[in-house]
Amino acid sequence: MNDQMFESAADPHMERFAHRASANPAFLGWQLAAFARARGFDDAALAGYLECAPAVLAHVRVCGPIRADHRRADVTEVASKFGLNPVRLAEAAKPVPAEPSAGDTEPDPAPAGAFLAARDRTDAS
Amino acid sequence: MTNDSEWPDRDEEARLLERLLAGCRTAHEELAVCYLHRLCQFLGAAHPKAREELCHQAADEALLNFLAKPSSYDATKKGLLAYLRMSAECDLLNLLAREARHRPVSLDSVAEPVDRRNRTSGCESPLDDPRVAAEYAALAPNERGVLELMCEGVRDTDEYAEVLGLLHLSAERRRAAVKRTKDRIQKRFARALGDTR
Repeated sequence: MNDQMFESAADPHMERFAHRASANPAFLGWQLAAFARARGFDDAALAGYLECAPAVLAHVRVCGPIRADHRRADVTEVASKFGLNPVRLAEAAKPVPAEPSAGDTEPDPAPAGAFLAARDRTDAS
Repeated sequence: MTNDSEWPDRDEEARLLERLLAGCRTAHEELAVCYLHRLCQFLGAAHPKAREELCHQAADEALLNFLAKPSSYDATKKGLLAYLRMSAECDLLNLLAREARHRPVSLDSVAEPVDRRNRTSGCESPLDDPRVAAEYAALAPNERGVLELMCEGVRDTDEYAEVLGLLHLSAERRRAAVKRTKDRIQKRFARALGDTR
Protein backbone atom coordinates (compact mmCIF):
# COMPACT_ATOMS: atom_id res chain seq x y z
CA MET A 1 0.00 0.00 0.00
CA ASN A 2 1.26 3.45 -0.84
CA ASP A 3 -0.60 5.50 1.75
CA GLN A 4 2.49 7.28 2.96
CA MET A 5 3.48 8.13 -0.57
CA PHE A 6 0.17 9.97 -1.14
CA GLU A 7 -0.12 11.77 2.15
CA SER A 8 -0.27 15.01 0.23
CA ALA A 9 -3.61 13.93 -1.26
CA ALA A 10 -5.23 15.07 1.96
CA ASP A 11 -4.68 18.57 0.68
CA PRO A 12 -8.03 20.11 -0.14
CA HIS A 13 -6.97 21.61 -3.45
CA MET A 14 -5.94 18.24 -4.85
CA GLU A 15 -9.19 16.78 -3.54
CA ARG A 16 -11.16 19.49 -5.29
CA PHE A 17 -9.17 19.07 -8.46
CA ALA A 18 -9.93 15.35 -8.38
CA HIS A 19 -13.63 15.99 -7.95
CA ARG A 20 -13.62 18.34 -10.91
CA ALA A 21 -11.75 15.75 -12.92
CA SER A 22 -14.46 13.25 -12.00
CA ALA A 23 -16.97 15.35 -13.92
CA ASN A 24 -14.88 14.94 -17.07
CA PRO A 25 -14.86 11.71 -19.09
CA ALA A 26 -11.16 12.21 -19.81
CA PHE A 27 -10.37 10.99 -16.31
CA LEU A 28 -10.69 7.74 -14.41
CA GLY A 29 -12.68 9.65 -11.80
CA TRP A 30 -15.55 9.79 -14.30
CA GLN A 31 -15.74 6.02 -14.44
CA LEU A 32 -15.34 5.66 -10.69
CA ALA A 33 -18.08 8.23 -10.07
CA ALA A 34 -20.50 6.29 -12.28
CA PHE A 35 -19.65 3.10 -10.43
CA ALA A 36 -20.00 4.75 -7.02
CA ARG A 37 -23.38 6.20 -7.98
CA ALA A 38 -24.59 2.82 -9.17
CA ARG A 39 -23.50 1.16 -5.93
CA GLY A 40 -24.49 4.04 -3.65
CA PHE A 41 -20.88 4.37 -2.44
CA ASP A 42 -19.48 7.45 -0.78
CA ASP A 43 -15.73 8.16 -0.93
CA ALA A 44 -14.94 6.00 2.08
CA ALA A 45 -16.91 3.08 0.69
CA LEU A 46 -15.31 3.43 -2.73
CA ALA A 47 -11.84 3.55 -1.18
CA GLY A 48 -12.71 0.49 0.88
CA TYR A 49 -13.92 -1.33 -2.20
CA LEU A 50 -10.72 -0.54 -4.10
CA GLU A 51 -8.72 -1.41 -0.98
CA CYS A 52 -6.93 1.89 -0.66
CA ALA A 53 -6.92 4.75 1.81
CA PRO A 54 -9.43 7.54 1.11
CA ALA A 55 -6.56 9.98 0.58
CA VAL A 56 -5.30 7.89 -2.32
CA LEU A 57 -8.61 8.22 -4.13
CA ALA A 58 -7.91 11.78 -5.27
CA HIS A 59 -4.79 10.61 -7.08
CA VAL A 60 -6.57 7.64 -8.61
CA ARG A 61 -9.35 9.89 -9.89
CA VAL A 62 -7.00 12.11 -11.87
CA CYS A 63 -5.53 9.21 -13.82
CA GLY A 64 -6.58 8.65 -17.40
CA PRO A 65 -9.71 6.51 -17.93
CA ILE A 66 -9.43 2.77 -18.41
CA ARG A 67 -9.72 2.12 -22.14
CA ALA A 68 -11.79 -0.75 -23.42
CA ASP A 69 -9.08 -1.76 -25.87
CA HIS A 70 -6.23 -1.58 -23.32
CA ARG A 71 -8.20 -2.79 -20.36
CA ARG A 72 -5.75 -5.21 -18.81
CA ALA A 73 -2.69 -2.98 -19.23
CA ASP A 74 -4.48 0.12 -17.98
CA VAL A 75 -5.89 -1.59 -14.91
CA THR A 76 -2.52 -3.12 -14.09
CA GLU A 77 -0.73 0.20 -14.45
CA VAL A 78 -3.09 2.13 -12.19
CA ALA A 79 -3.59 -0.66 -9.65
CA SER A 80 0.17 -1.22 -9.33
CA LYS A 81 0.98 2.42 -8.80
CA PHE A 82 -1.64 3.01 -6.11
CA GLY A 83 -1.80 -0.42 -4.52
CA LEU A 84 -5.41 -1.07 -5.55
CA ASN A 85 -7.14 -4.39 -5.93
CA PRO A 86 -6.89 -4.84 -9.73
CA VAL A 87 -9.95 -7.04 -10.05
CA ARG A 88 -12.09 -4.50 -8.26
CA LEU A 89 -10.60 -1.60 -10.19
CA ALA A 90 -11.47 -3.42 -13.42
CA GLU A 91 -15.01 -3.86 -12.15
CA ALA A 92 -15.29 -0.23 -11.03
CA ALA A 93 -13.91 1.13 -14.27
CA LYS A 94 -16.17 -0.73 -16.65
CA PRO A 95 -16.96 1.47 -19.63
CA VAL A 96 -19.80 3.91 -19.16
CA PRO A 97 -21.70 5.29 -22.16
CA ALA A 98 -19.87 8.62 -22.29
CA GLU A 99 -16.41 7.10 -22.05
CA PRO A 100 -14.16 9.04 -24.39
CA SER A 101 -11.67 7.76 -26.86
CA ALA A 102 -8.07 8.29 -25.82
CA GLY A 103 -6.46 11.59 -26.67
CA ASP A 104 -9.00 14.31 -27.39
CA THR A 105 -11.69 14.21 -24.79
CA GLU A 106 -12.56 17.77 -24.02
CA PRO A 107 -16.30 17.74 -23.51
CA ASP A 108 -17.29 21.40 -23.68
CA PRO A 109 -16.02 24.10 -25.97
CA ALA A 110 -15.11 27.43 -24.41
CA PRO A 111 -17.98 29.89 -24.26
CA ALA A 112 -18.03 32.59 -26.92
CA GLY A 113 -15.94 35.59 -25.99
CA ALA A 114 -13.78 33.70 -23.54
CA PHE A 115 -10.02 34.00 -23.62
CA LEU A 116 -8.27 31.40 -25.65
CA ALA A 117 -6.11 30.67 -22.61
CA ALA A 118 -3.06 30.14 -24.82
CA ARG A 119 -4.37 26.73 -25.72
CA ASP A 120 -4.07 27.24 -29.41
CA ARG A 121 -2.91 30.61 -30.45
CA THR A 122 -2.91 29.82 -34.15
CA ASP A 123 -6.64 29.22 -34.01
CA ALA A 124 -7.06 32.66 -32.61
CA SER A 125 -5.95 34.70 -35.58
CA MET B 1 6.94 34.73 -8.14
CA THR B 2 7.56 31.03 -8.29
CA ASN B 3 11.18 30.30 -8.90
CA ASP B 4 11.77 28.50 -12.20
CA SER B 5 14.09 26.05 -10.49
CA GLU B 6 11.14 24.73 -8.49
CA TRP B 7 9.37 23.63 -11.66
CA PRO B 8 10.14 20.36 -13.41
CA ASP B 9 13.19 20.80 -15.61
CA ARG B 10 13.05 20.30 -19.37
CA ASP B 11 14.02 16.64 -19.16
CA GLU B 12 11.39 15.88 -16.57
CA GLU B 13 8.85 17.86 -18.54
CA ALA B 14 9.67 15.90 -21.70
CA ARG B 15 9.45 12.61 -19.82
CA LEU B 16 6.03 13.41 -18.39
CA LEU B 17 4.73 14.61 -21.72
CA GLU B 18 6.02 11.54 -23.49
CA ARG B 19 4.26 9.29 -20.99
CA LEU B 20 1.03 11.21 -21.38
CA LEU B 21 1.10 11.09 -25.16
CA ALA B 22 2.05 7.42 -25.09
CA GLY B 23 -1.22 6.74 -23.29
CA CYS B 24 0.12 5.96 -19.82
CA ARG B 25 -2.87 6.19 -17.51
CA THR B 26 -0.92 7.44 -14.51
CA ALA B 27 0.79 10.25 -16.42
CA HIS B 28 -2.23 12.50 -15.84
CA GLU B 29 -1.78 12.15 -12.10
CA GLU B 30 1.98 12.74 -12.27
CA LEU B 31 1.48 15.93 -14.22
CA ALA B 32 -1.23 17.11 -11.84
CA VAL B 33 1.00 16.50 -8.83
CA CYS B 34 3.87 18.29 -10.57
CA TYR B 35 2.03 21.37 -11.76
CA LEU B 36 -1.17 22.01 -9.78
CA HIS B 37 0.27 23.71 -6.72
CA ARG B 38 3.02 25.42 -8.62
CA LEU B 39 0.52 26.97 -11.00
CA CYS B 40 -1.49 28.26 -8.04
CA GLN B 41 1.61 29.76 -6.50
CA PHE B 42 2.54 31.33 -9.81
CA LEU B 43 -0.92 32.89 -10.24
CA GLY B 44 -0.98 34.10 -6.66
CA ALA B 45 2.36 35.82 -7.12
CA ALA B 46 1.54 37.27 -10.53
CA HIS B 47 -1.92 38.47 -9.46
CA PRO B 48 -1.71 39.22 -5.75
CA LYS B 49 -5.11 40.93 -5.74
CA ALA B 50 -6.87 37.92 -7.18
CA ARG B 51 -8.62 35.76 -4.61
CA GLU B 52 -6.90 32.49 -3.82
CA GLU B 53 -10.03 30.58 -4.75
CA LEU B 54 -9.96 32.07 -8.24
CA CYS B 55 -6.27 31.22 -8.63
CA HIS B 56 -7.03 27.63 -7.66
CA GLN B 57 -9.94 27.48 -10.07
CA ALA B 58 -7.84 28.88 -12.90
CA ALA B 59 -5.03 26.42 -12.24
CA ASP B 60 -7.58 23.59 -12.17
CA GLU B 61 -9.07 24.63 -15.47
CA ALA B 62 -5.77 25.04 -17.25
CA LEU B 63 -4.55 21.67 -16.10
CA LEU B 64 -7.83 19.83 -16.66
CA ASN B 65 -8.10 21.23 -20.17
CA PHE B 66 -4.55 20.25 -21.00
CA LEU B 67 -4.84 16.75 -19.55
CA ALA B 68 -8.20 16.17 -21.22
CA LYS B 69 -6.92 17.32 -24.57
CA PRO B 70 -3.12 17.10 -24.71
CA SER B 71 -3.21 17.38 -28.48
CA SER B 72 -4.11 21.06 -28.07
CA TYR B 73 -0.55 21.65 -26.91
CA ASP B 74 2.07 22.07 -29.61
CA ALA B 75 5.51 21.44 -28.15
CA THR B 76 7.20 23.04 -31.15
CA LYS B 77 5.66 26.41 -30.31
CA LYS B 78 6.11 26.71 -26.58
CA GLY B 79 7.52 24.81 -23.61
CA LEU B 80 4.95 23.05 -21.46
CA LEU B 81 5.72 25.22 -18.46
CA ALA B 82 5.18 28.43 -20.43
CA TYR B 83 2.06 26.99 -22.03
CA LEU B 84 0.48 25.99 -18.73
CA ARG B 85 1.37 29.30 -17.09
CA MET B 86 -0.13 31.29 -19.93
CA SER B 87 -3.16 29.05 -20.07
CA ALA B 88 -3.74 29.35 -16.32
CA GLU B 89 -3.21 33.10 -16.43
CA CYS B 90 -5.75 33.49 -19.23
CA ASP B 91 -8.20 31.29 -17.35
CA LEU B 92 -7.72 33.53 -14.33
CA LEU B 93 -8.38 36.61 -16.44
CA ASN B 94 -11.53 34.98 -17.76
CA LEU B 95 -12.69 34.35 -14.22
CA LEU B 96 -11.85 37.90 -13.17
CA ALA B 97 -13.68 39.29 -16.19
CA ARG B 98 -16.69 37.10 -15.44
CA GLU B 99 -16.64 38.30 -11.87
CA ALA B 100 -16.31 41.90 -12.99
CA ARG B 101 -19.45 41.60 -15.07
CA HIS B 102 -21.39 40.65 -11.96
CA ARG B 103 -19.87 43.14 -9.58
CA PRO B 104 -20.07 46.94 -9.39
CA VAL B 105 -16.75 48.59 -10.13
CA SER B 106 -15.12 50.29 -7.17
CA LEU B 107 -14.45 53.93 -7.96
CA ASP B 108 -11.58 53.78 -5.54
CA SER B 109 -9.68 51.50 -7.85
CA VAL B 110 -6.42 53.00 -8.89
CA ALA B 111 -6.09 53.41 -12.62
CA GLU B 112 -2.86 51.84 -13.68
CA PRO B 113 -1.26 51.77 -17.08
CA VAL B 114 -1.70 48.61 -19.07
CA ASP B 115 1.96 48.50 -19.94
CA ARG B 116 3.72 46.25 -17.44
CA ARG B 117 7.25 46.83 -18.65
CA ASN B 118 8.30 48.70 -15.56
CA ARG B 119 6.58 46.48 -13.07
CA THR B 120 8.76 44.40 -10.86
CA SER B 121 7.89 40.80 -10.27
CA GLY B 122 5.19 40.38 -7.65
CA CYS B 123 3.67 43.85 -8.04
CA GLU B 124 -0.02 44.27 -8.60
CA SER B 125 -1.10 43.60 -12.14
CA PRO B 126 -3.38 46.05 -13.96
CA LEU B 127 -5.25 42.98 -15.12
CA ASP B 128 -6.44 42.49 -11.56
CA ASP B 129 -8.58 45.58 -12.08
CA PRO B 130 -12.03 44.33 -13.12
CA ARG B 131 -12.38 47.17 -15.64
CA VAL B 132 -9.18 46.13 -17.34
CA ALA B 133 -10.10 42.46 -17.17
CA ALA B 134 -13.49 43.19 -18.75
CA GLU B 135 -11.87 45.22 -21.52
CA TYR B 136 -9.37 42.44 -22.10
CA ALA B 137 -12.22 39.96 -22.45
CA ALA B 138 -13.70 42.10 -25.19
CA LEU B 139 -10.52 42.15 -27.31
CA ALA B 140 -10.27 40.12 -30.49
CA PRO B 141 -7.87 37.16 -30.24
CA ASN B 142 -5.15 38.84 -32.28
CA GLU B 143 -5.52 42.02 -30.23
CA ARG B 144 -4.96 39.94 -27.11
CA GLY B 145 -1.80 38.65 -28.71
CA VAL B 146 -0.67 42.22 -29.32
CA LEU B 147 -1.48 43.19 -25.75
CA GLU B 148 0.48 40.23 -24.43
CA LEU B 149 3.50 41.36 -26.43
CA MET B 150 3.06 44.91 -25.17
CA CYS B 151 2.90 43.63 -21.61
CA GLU B 152 6.07 41.67 -22.19
CA GLY B 153 7.74 44.85 -23.39
CA VAL B 154 8.37 43.53 -26.89
CA ARG B 155 9.50 46.28 -29.25
CA ASP B 156 10.12 44.37 -32.44
CA THR B 157 7.46 45.37 -34.99
CA ASP B 158 7.67 42.04 -36.76
CA GLU B 159 6.58 40.14 -33.68
CA TYR B 160 3.42 42.23 -33.60
CA ALA B 161 2.98 41.91 -37.35
CA GLU B 162 3.18 38.14 -37.05
CA VAL B 163 0.42 38.05 -34.45
CA LEU B 164 -1.69 40.31 -36.64
CA GLY B 165 -0.96 38.37 -39.81
CA LEU B 166 0.64 41.38 -41.46
CA LEU B 167 4.05 40.01 -42.36
CA HIS B 168 3.17 40.17 -46.04
CA LEU B 169 3.01 43.97 -45.94
CA SER B 170 5.93 46.26 -46.72
CA ALA B 171 7.98 47.30 -43.71
CA GLU B 172 6.50 50.77 -43.72
CA ARG B 173 2.88 49.67 -43.96
CA ARG B 174 3.54 46.95 -41.41
CA ARG B 175 4.94 49.48 -38.95
CA ALA B 176 2.00 51.82 -39.47
CA ALA B 177 -0.58 49.05 -39.06
CA VAL B 178 1.07 47.76 -35.89
CA LYS B 179 1.22 51.26 -34.45
CA ARG B 180 -2.47 51.81 -35.22
CA THR B 181 -3.40 48.61 -33.45
CA LYS B 182 -1.26 49.36 -30.41
CA ASP B 183 -2.67 52.89 -30.17
CA ARG B 184 -6.21 51.60 -30.50
CA ILE B 185 -5.70 49.07 -27.72
CA GLN B 186 -4.11 51.65 -25.44
CA LYS B 187 -7.00 54.04 -26.04
CA ARG B 188 -9.54 51.34 -25.25
CA PHE B 189 -7.92 50.64 -21.92
CA ALA B 190 -7.45 54.29 -21.15
CA ARG B 191 -11.19 54.82 -21.78
CA ALA B 192 -12.07 51.83 -19.64
CA LEU B 193 -10.07 53.33 -16.82
CA GLY B 194 -11.75 56.70 -17.19
CA ASP B 195 -8.86 58.49 -18.83
CA THR B 196 -10.44 60.77 -21.41
CA ARG B 197 -7.21 62.14 -22.83
